[in-house]
Amino acid sequence: MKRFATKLLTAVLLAMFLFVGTQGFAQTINIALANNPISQALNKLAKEKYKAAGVTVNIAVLPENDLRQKLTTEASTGGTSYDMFFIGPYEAASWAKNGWLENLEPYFKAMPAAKLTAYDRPDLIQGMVGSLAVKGQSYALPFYGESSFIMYNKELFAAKGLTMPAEPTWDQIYDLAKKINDPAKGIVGMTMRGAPGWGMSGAPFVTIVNAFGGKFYDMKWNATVDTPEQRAAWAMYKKVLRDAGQPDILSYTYNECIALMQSGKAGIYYDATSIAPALEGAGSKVQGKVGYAMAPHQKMMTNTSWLWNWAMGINPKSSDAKKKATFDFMVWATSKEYAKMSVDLDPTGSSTPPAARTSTYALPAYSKTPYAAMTVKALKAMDFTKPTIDPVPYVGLQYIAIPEFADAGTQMTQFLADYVVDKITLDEAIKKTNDVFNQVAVDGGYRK
Amino acid sequence: MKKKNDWPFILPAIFVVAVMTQVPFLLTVVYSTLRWNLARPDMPIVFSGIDNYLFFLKIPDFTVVPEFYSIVLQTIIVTVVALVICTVIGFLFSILLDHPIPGVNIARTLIMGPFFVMSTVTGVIWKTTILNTTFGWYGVLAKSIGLAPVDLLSYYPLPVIIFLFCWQWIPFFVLIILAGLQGISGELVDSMRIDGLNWWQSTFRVKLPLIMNHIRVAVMLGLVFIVKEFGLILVTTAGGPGTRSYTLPYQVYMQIFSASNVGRAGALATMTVVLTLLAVNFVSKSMKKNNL
Repeated sequence: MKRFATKLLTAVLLAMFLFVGTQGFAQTINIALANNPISQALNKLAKEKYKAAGVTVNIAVLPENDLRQKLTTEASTGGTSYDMFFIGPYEAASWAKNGWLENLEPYFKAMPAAKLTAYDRPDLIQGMVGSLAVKGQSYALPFYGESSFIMYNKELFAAKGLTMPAEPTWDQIYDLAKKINDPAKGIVGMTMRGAPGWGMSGAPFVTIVNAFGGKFYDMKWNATVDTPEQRAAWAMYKKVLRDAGQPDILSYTYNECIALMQSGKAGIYYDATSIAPALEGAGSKVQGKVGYAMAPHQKMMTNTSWLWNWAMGINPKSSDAKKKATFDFMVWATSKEYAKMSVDLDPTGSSTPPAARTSTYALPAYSKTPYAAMTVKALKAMDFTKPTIDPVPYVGLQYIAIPEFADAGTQMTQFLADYVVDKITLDEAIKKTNDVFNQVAVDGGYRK
Repeated sequence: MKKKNDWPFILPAIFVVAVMTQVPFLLTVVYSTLRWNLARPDMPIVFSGIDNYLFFLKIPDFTVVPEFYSIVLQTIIVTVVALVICTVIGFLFSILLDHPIPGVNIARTLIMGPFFVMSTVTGVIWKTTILNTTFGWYGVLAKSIGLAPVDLLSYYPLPVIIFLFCWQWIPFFVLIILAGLQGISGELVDSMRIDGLNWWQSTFRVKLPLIMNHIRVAVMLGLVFIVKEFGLILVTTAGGPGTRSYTLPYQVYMQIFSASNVGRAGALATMTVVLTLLAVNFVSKSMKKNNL
């Protein structure tokens, strides 16, 4: 009996070792995504549908501001907690130059011809691909893209007998928002991101600055925040939100704005085109009742929206096997099949990555969505390289494409928040921001 | 029996303590003298002397208070006010819980609750489910009695932060002060009663002096914990609006994780350590001097 027990124990232990051994060969790739509806859909679909032999995909969904800080620290210090970087064009440009992103061309060269044809690289929207490439070499694949536009609640507009112009100015938006605003009934005239952060309130705010004819630097890299154009833009942002915006202005990220708009209690919402699907999805009270208009202009007549995409790049410090597994996952997530699968799963289109592939807009179910036409129009209207009326030494629509902007832009939005809730005056906010941008020009060696 | 040659045995311990605590600090001091931005690997890392310190300390314009000084002031306000409230309320709660009434053990356990909740979770709960003016209890209650709720986190960030610190740290003070009260011998309590001391006299003239050591420990530890508290600020106000609820540790975090500026973060961290040590020393000395 004792002998049998010993044998049994040995067998069990051996089996356990073998189990652990085979587990050891499996690759786990770690991915962090930004917390927005389309990434959440990817998280869900990846768990249910993604099958690759010996590969486990481990996905974390983080708030956007946290994700940015985590990945920047990870990339700059050569960490390997994440195998895939979920980034945008702002990061892609400088990270590729710094060697923080793997060049994807060798991976495409190694791809079997049949697979490459099925993936159809030319089908990816070229503006998006271009914003992620350095010298024609791709460093990240666009998962989904966005511009910005106006979304408005048609029911609330009809109830007050108002109409939204197809191409409104900020003054018109302000008037409309004030007319819709009705605190007694809990109706908010206009909602917009108020939480500080360069990619949070900074995104709509910088497009307002561009629209009012403002700029951040002259051609010699002198900060130009203290101009009448900038002052008008700062005042407009405050005016809209204080006179007709959500009550807790500063705690609103786009997630709160979406929730408010979905609840039917907001008249106008200025944000990313990629947010429209969430408003038209199941569970939204404004499904089918949302109208769309171009991003507001003012002094600058066109190109007053933003360009962004969420893209996938490979961490060059990961092991070769993990890099390959990550690349395969990226190809799957940015493929035509993924777009089709997401539409099949959710015909409202709210899980489908927009503005990454031309073919997505040819999918029968997707092309009928109420926002498809306006999204394509908004994407065609923007020019990444000419953000302002006057010539400037930088590119980028809702940001300045220099590494220091992440911090300077965040500080700017903090001063903006201070100004919006009357903690400081406009003069102080403008002066502090101007000082920050001048400091950046000196620290970063831009001003010669 | 003391041997002459037994000192090598403590070397491993010294080594571990040095590596764990002193080496990182010394490295921070070294970093604080460098011009080093992680986001700009194309720019060389160069020695810059005390430039990083001057960046924070300089006063370019005497009409405007530089950011650094207002952040130091905010840190002091948050810490001192939270410490005072925690000590006073902690003491009062302890007296309440020192009575052998039915269910006192349940009450003691319940009052510990906030201490066991992670500070980030505390922050999220208070921010979204309670203080939010649209979805939170506060907003719903205020609206139901016909008031327009004010966004407390944006307009009164410091009082809210102080309140949350107190909510979280009072249990810790109760824990230590109650332990002191429980340590007072039953004989002493009996003799106080026989001598005819009233509640006021027995609490503040006899018990309070007896547990002063416990209070001192609670204040010291509380000071160190509250100064470095950071998660709660991150998830509630994120230092905002603007920098109106920044504390020094939060500013260090932003310098390294938002600005990627190793040199400036190092300088700021070094100054934070120095200021905290000075504060601990000052509090400790003044409590001893006043025979507290």
